Amino acid sequence: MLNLIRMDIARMRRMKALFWIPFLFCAIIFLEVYSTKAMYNRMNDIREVASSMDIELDEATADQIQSMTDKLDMKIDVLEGYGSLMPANVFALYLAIFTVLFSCADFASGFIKTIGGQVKRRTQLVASKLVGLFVFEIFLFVVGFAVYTLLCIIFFDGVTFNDPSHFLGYTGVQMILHFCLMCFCSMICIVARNSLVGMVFAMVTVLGFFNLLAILIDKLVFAVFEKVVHVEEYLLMDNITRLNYYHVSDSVSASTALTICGVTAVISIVLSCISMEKKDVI
Amino acid sequence: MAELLLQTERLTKQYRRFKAVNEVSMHLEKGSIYGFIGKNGAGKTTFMKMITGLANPTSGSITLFGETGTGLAKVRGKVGALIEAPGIYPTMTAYDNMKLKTLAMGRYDKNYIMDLLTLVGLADTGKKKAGKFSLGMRQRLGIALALVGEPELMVLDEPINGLDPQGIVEVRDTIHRLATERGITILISSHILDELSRIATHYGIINNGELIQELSAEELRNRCSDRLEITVYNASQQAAPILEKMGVPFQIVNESLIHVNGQTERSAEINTALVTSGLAVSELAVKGEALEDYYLNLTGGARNA
Repeated sequence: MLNLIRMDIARMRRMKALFWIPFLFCAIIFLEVYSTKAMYNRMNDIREVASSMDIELDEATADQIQSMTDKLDMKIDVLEGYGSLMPANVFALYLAIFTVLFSCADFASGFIKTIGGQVKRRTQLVASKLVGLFVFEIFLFVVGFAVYTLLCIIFFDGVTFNDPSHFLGYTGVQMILHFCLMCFCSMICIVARNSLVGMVFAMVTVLGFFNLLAILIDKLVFAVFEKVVHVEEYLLMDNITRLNYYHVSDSVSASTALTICGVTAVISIVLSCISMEKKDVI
Repeated sequence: MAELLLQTERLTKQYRRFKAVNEVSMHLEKGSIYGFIGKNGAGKTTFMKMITGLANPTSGSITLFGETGTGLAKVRGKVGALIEAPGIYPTMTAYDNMKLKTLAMGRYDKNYIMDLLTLVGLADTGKKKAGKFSLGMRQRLGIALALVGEPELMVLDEPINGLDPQGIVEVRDTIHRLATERGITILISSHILDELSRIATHYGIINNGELIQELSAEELRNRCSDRLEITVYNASQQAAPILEKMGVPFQIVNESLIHVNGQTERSAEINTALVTSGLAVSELAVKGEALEDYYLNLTGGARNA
């Protein structure tokens, strides 16, 4: 088993996607930091214009500007900023793309035939793949965090790292949820053994098309049985996106998200193992 | 009888209503080179996939190194395989492909990889990507990958398919060296029966999913008896009555060619009889039946073997 993990890590190191996916992720982070900085600058401009023109603002607008511009003099909180990126689709999108490329590579090249017959159980290949994917997830997270911190230092006057324990707890849960997503995408690839099908399913999942389907089912159930079911709340991506850095009204609790995503992951792994073991290698 | 390394008992693979392999009972002796012969779609690859654990049988049993059923998992590592096209990453070098396989088998060592690449003649490919290899080089890399872990049995499915004459010779020599120098038992399928007959010690002939015959090279030689090939004008009209009169068993292949099975010691007598009857014999030659002829006769004359 350890040998297969070593093989998959070595295989991953040879993949071009190992470099271009973090690069694109960092590019998105750059845009995020840059747009935050631009927003701060704009707020500064508004404050300066407002103060220089001595305009009478209504109380609500003045409060809003005040609350937004108050932050401008403060250092940016890196942990809050990066943590808030997690529920956005960006991290999930790049993980899903990599998962498809990584999971389908041995099927597409036929390398699975080279080792598939010589392992004691082919389910070990599923396990080694998932370990490889988890390593990549951590790698992408760390690279993204380092780049985010660096960009914040460059663009802002200073940085702070407030409440690291909350950050670690939150990102830890998000990492598990994202890994569940990777398990699901990997399962699609292993069962379908086709990178195109895998990529389409991964994109449909990450971009929330299943939510539309779920809403449709909700409406259908309501129309027929007059019951409210909220199927979308049981979807993987819905739970990832609704687990916010700071709990807000529409947030999902960490335990609920972990339960739903965990069940999805377990089902995905079982299906992957069955498919790998029972289906012929072609 | 020599020790059996592989034995199958009524092995069957069925896809819905189609039986790709139908109750094949095969016997592979240790140290032999077993030539597996059959036309396209006869069931060779499916059978080999079941042997190597890449496909699950519908019914029947496989006994490999004395293990059967769930015990097969223990001996899978002793079987190296090259099934259809070699499974390699085209964006990686030969060395990197080998590295992955050796890591998976727990045998990673630079010298070991270079030894295997040297054995198949790919040691000097450097940083050239496997995707840019010629077909022959890819096949040899596939063989090198199959050799990782010192397999005692190698299953090679059409390893010389599509190769140029030089490539065929290289791969044939490699296979022969593996069998003679390393004592590896080899199960090999090929369409090129002439090439197969140069290295195989045993044969299995499969047709429509059924193993119709198993025989050793010696048995084949005995069965492939010599014959006379007579080229003569108007064979059926004029030559046939003369041969019938002489009591010679013959077969008219076409208007100018007659095959006389056996009777090679009477070649001069036959020639004299035909010539004295006024027939123009343009050629009379003693020829042995080749593996190809034997196969075609056995399977009913299929031409695409």
